[in-house]
Amino acid sequence: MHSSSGLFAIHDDVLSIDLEEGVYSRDAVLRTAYWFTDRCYLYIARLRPGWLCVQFKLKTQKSDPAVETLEEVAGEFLNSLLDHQLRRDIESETGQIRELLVTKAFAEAGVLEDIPPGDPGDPVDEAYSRESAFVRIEPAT
Amino acid sequence: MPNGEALVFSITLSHDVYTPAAIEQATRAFHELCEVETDAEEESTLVRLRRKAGSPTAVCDDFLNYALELSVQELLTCKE
Repeated sequence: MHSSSGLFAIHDDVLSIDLEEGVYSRDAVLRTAYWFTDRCYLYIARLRPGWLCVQFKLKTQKSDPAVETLEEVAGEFLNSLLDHQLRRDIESETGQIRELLVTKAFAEAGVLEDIPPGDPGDPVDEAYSRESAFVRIEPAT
Repeated sequence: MPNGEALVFSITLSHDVYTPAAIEQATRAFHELCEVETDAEEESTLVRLRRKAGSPTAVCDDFLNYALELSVQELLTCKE
C-alpha cells in the first residue's frame, strides 16, 4: 500500500516524514522520537544534508479498531515535535535570564556557599532597587 | 525499515543520530536474538542483522528502537 498526504508518505505500513533541520532541530526530533518508542518502531535516517527522515511502524496490530492509525500517530508526533522545538527556542532566548533569577534567589536566601559571579549593579538589582524606592500610596479612606 | 518476515536485514545508521557507543551497546544486548555485523565508517555504521531461529519477528525493529533510545540518552544528557 502506498499513500501520500504531502506531509508524509505511507508504504508497506511504514510512514515516512521528511523534516528540514532549519525548521526542526536534530535535538527536537530526537527528543520527540524518544517519547514515541513505546508506541512505535522508529528509524531516523539522514538521506541528505540538512534533512532527517523519520520512519514509523506501529507496534500493535492495525486490525484492532481501538488502535490508532499511522496517520494519527504521525500527526501527534508532528505536534509534539513543534512543542519540543518551541520549548527549545524559548529556552535559548530566555535561559540566561532564568538562570540569573534563580541564582539571585538562592543568593538572597543565603543557601549558596560561594558568592554568585556578576556585578551587583546588574539590571535585576537595579530593577529591585527602583521598585523599593517607590512610595506606596495607600487608598484614601 | 525492517520487514518483519525478513531473516536478514541491512541498514545504515548515521552517527549524528545513532552514536557508535549506542550501536555497540545495542549489538551486545541483542547478540542472543540476532547476529549483528557492523561496518563502521566515519559518519555512519552499516548494520547487518540476521534474525536467529525462534526470535521474535520484530527483533530488528526492537534493535533499532533500543539503539535510538540509548543514543538519545547519550546525546541529550551530554548537552544538559
